[in-house]
Amino acid sequence: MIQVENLTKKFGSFTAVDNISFSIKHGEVVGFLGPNGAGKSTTMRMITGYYSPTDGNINLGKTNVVKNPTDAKKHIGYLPENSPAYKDMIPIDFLRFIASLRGIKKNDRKNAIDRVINICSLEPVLYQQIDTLSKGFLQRVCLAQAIIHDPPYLILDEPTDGLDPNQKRGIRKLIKDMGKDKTIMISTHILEEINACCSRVIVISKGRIVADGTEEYLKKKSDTYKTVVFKTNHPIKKKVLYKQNSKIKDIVSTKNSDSIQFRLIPKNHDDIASILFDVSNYIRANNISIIEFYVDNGNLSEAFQTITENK
Amino acid sequence: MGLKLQESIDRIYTVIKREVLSYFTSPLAYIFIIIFLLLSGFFTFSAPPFGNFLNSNQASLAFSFFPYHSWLYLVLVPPISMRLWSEEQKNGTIEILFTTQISILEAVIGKFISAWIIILISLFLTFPIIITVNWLGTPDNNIIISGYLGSALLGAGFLSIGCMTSAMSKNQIISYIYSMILCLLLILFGHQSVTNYFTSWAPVWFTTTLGQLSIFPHYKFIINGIIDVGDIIYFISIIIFGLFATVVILNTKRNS
Repeated sequence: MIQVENLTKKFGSFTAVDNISFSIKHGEVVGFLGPNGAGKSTTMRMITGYYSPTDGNINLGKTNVVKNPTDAKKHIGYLPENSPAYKDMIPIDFLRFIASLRGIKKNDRKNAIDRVINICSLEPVLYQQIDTLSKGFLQRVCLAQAIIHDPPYLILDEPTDGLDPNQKRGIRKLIKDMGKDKTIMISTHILEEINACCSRVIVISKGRIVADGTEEYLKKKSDTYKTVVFKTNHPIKKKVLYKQNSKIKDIVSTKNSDSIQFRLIPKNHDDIASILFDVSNYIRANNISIIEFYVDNGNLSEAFQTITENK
Repeated sequence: MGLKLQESIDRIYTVIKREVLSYFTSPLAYIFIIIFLLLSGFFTFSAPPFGNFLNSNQASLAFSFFPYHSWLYLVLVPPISMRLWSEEQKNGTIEILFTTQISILEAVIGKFISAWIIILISLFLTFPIIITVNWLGTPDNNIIISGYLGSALLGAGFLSIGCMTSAMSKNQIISYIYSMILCLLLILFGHQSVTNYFTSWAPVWFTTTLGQLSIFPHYKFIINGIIDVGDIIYFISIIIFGLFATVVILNTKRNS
């Protein structure tokens, strides 16, 4: 379990991370979300022992990272932002180098390296200079170094940044698979990543945690969460729709060239069923032709915007 | 304790291996060695004001060979030291390095030794001069060994300063310039033109201290076969100062 308590990091007078606390359980893959410059990387650097915090505490299981960083580092795998690697090396030598720095015994080194080559599918580029690797392979080489000592804790800073959609899918699948028996924290500003591999999201903005929960919980924060949407080419007056159900709080209509879209916002999320029932009855009774009819479950991007901009 | 020390040595060795390999996968090591050999040959054999080895009628390397190494190192050491930490900081690999178990001190020592190895290889490859001087006359080989020791220490001293300036900046060129300036100061402090300038108005102790800070008085004795503990301590102090400053700079920069 990763436990972060009242963590603060100041650079001069600038507070990059401001008194944040959270914990991540074993087997959880947590997405660390936030706009650029929100403090994601700084937080991760503190968890990995690269930065020492100005204040606060970090525990990895029973090991205190702040008091005992060298010990803690044994249990963490870290993929820094932009996947740095020694450009003049070839991946196999790079992995040998890291394996040896990680203190993997000589006899076990080959197995450890073979294992990560296999997991990250590095076979085709093992002897190609890192400088000439595609971004996707570079990312995988760097991920391989992060898991070479099979650490129980993985900290991945924007692991899919700059990859094409297929490569992204590949890396996400890897993360999801590893998440079964590790504690993983990935930072991202790509929202689709969240539902692709995370079981929980922590949103950070201006150094503070502004939301912490499941994807569903985040979506609730978006204005479109649990709203009834329908599109028709039949002229309907808003007033008529309000009359169908008293639990409708607001109606937003958007006119297109040949149709009109209505979004019915309930007073309470729980009211959605009754609104749905009444409105669909009205449509059926009046033979109104419908182009689209659905319940909107909100979206992360909107929630993200609401959370990070309003607070 | 023994196990920890062994682990520490293993990590330093790992860094040395990587860095030396890195020097030889780029043209850097070859360029350094070739230019070092060419220039030291040039200085040794050229007519005055240079070494004028063949016409000096002296079976010694103390006047025609070793004295020029300070200038050679001044020009050649910064290019091999500048990449040590600048590159690491620029590419972000320093984050990977320092989130493994290696300590800053271990990494600093490893990188320092790896660059020193390049200097030592170059020095080793000057062996034909030893053969030549022994063939032409009967030199005191103990003085020659002492000269090599002095040169190796001088190279290490400049190198440790190069490590320090490399830690200061992500930019290799800036680190190059810094280290060249600092090494030049270490040379010039003891140069007659500088000391003469100060003797005219500054207190004697100041001029003496300044002169003692320079590599010249110390280096001169060693290459002439006079191994004084004080001179050895001088060079070792420079090395320790440079490496210690590197550790401090890296540690401070990491957190700011």
